[in-house]
Amino acid sequence: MTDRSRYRLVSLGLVSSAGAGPKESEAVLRGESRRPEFTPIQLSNGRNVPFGRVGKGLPAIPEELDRYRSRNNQLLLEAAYQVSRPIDQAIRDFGRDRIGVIIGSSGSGIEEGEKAIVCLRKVGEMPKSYHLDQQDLGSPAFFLAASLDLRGPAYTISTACSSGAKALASARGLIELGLCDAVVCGGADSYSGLTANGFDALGVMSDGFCNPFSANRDGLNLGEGAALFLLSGTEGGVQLLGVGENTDAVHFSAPDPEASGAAECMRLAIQDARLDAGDVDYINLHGTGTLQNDAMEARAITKVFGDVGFRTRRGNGLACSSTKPVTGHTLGAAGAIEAGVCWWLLESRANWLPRHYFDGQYDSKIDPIPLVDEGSQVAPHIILTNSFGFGGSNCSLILGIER
Amino acid sequence: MTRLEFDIQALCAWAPGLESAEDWKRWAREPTAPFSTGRPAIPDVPPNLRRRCGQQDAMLLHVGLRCLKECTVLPPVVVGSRHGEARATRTLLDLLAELEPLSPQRFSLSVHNASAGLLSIVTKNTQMSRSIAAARDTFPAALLEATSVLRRSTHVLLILVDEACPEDYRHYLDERPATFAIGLLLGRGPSYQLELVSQTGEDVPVSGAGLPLPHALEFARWFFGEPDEPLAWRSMHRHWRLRAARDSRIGEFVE
Repeated sequence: MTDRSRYRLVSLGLVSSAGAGPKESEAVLRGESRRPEFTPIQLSNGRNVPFGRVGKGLPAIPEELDRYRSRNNQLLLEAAYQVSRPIDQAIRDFGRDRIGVIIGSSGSGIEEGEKAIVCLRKVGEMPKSYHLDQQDLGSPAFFLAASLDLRGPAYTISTACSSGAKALASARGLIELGLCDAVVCGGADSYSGLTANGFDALGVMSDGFCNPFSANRDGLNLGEGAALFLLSGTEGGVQLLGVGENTDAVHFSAPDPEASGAAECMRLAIQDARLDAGDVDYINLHGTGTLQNDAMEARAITKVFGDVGFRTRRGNGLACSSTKPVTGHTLGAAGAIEAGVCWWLLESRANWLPRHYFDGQYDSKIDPIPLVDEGSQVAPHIILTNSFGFGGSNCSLILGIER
Repeated sequence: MTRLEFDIQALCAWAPGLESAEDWKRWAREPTAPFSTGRPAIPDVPPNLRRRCGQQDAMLLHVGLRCLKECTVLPPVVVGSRHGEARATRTLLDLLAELEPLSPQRFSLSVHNASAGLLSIVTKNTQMSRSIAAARDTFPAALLEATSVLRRSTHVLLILVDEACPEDYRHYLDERPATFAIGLLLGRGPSYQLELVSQTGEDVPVSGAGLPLPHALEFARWFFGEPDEPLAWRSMHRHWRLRAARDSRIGEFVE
């Protein structure tokens, strides 16, 4: 059974195409400014697709950590700088060896690996500036631990699109074990030709903006970014109340259309939080905008919340939205970035919910679920966020304000 | 100091040339880094999935299926792999360099949790699965992850698996490249005790001739070889010590 312990999400660093830091990202999340321009990237076959690139300049990797140099690690450094003061406080409170680092990433620095292979094929050797550690999957955690001089356990979780959410679940586990008092946890993924061309080969990428839950949706947009939380075993503030994790065990790269796995995953999170479905005010959808995900997710949400007519204990009614139109699908970072958006709503005591950007034409062929109304004034207390990934790997998190 | 404990209810290990408990016991007397091609037969895997498996996937499926035979209830799974689908990824990088189209199946099976996903499909196991990577610390990290899962589940299937990475990358390694899979069905209990003690000072990076074996193979050497001595190593700024409280390990090997 779950412990009665508390897990506080003390602070957040966040960078995506929506902005650097949750405050900067707020305007576009609320729908007060235009949806960010996704820069086009060109695929091997010449096709151009939108990509949620991080526009701002990123901090340089310190020279002594050059073997970990990658854009992926630069994104992590940007997020880390935003939480440096709470981390310094945690070091004073607990000691460096009691703070762990767990990062979710699907690609790590694979772009460095791509460039290295191009060079190898051209000139017969790897570039002098290349090191395997740049693309090694363990490197995000190692790099961050070395940069911040944290000496608790450090490792990477790599389960495709659920990685970033699972990193928070694992972080909770390390605190429960008694090995850490706090964990820097989250996710990062950056542009790579391999991922962009791979998703294109799967036929799930849109030429235009993604359009989640629309009758006209035709695929996802990829994006890059990073989010880092400082999670500690303390009371107060925004709490990680519950985690649900399971596996579809049906098909490798497509979600199960019956949605049993996703529905059960959400139920597990609600149970873990010792709540009922009616306690959830807002759901941040996985909402990629692919034909299959959105149909499946609508079914899953209807299975879990439809029984109570999407009514909530607080009376406002459940509302859902996808923030992937604003950040792109950030893969291994997605679960953490989206948990970051949810954290900000709670931490800032928001009276708004993230806008669901789409063309307004809800697909009548999929189960109807309540999307966020433009301009709605809702103060969420309990939030659920979904991540459903390749290999049928599912993870749902519940965040809430301590009551 | 942190003390963790667990039981090992079943263990299956496979490497090219090392299949039975006898093979592994012989190997433990003079351990080398298993290295070649060759893969287990995995007859229980449906042909359409078996066809798509690389060497690493086949090894993971073999040890995973053997261990899960010992279960009445399917457990959550933790996989620790340093290089993951490095060979599959390298094939894709070569295609990418030539601007050749990528196969969608090959791409989706190149993700780090690909083989864990295959295992879940073959066994219809809907329990959660986490795939970990931590370079040279992959075995200890996966062990920690598995013991944390044991706090919320009575059992966990822990699989350590790696293929020797493609040759062009070996120059950068801090340990010997090796191909192996070790599956452990862990349960709650006092048979194995793991002690972690924080140490001050830097972990000394390894280089040059005489690179060490991956930690997972050091564990195998200990398990099949010197049961009376604890297994000790350094990683994550800590001294680690694994000891067996009772001597019943070999009886748990499942073939």
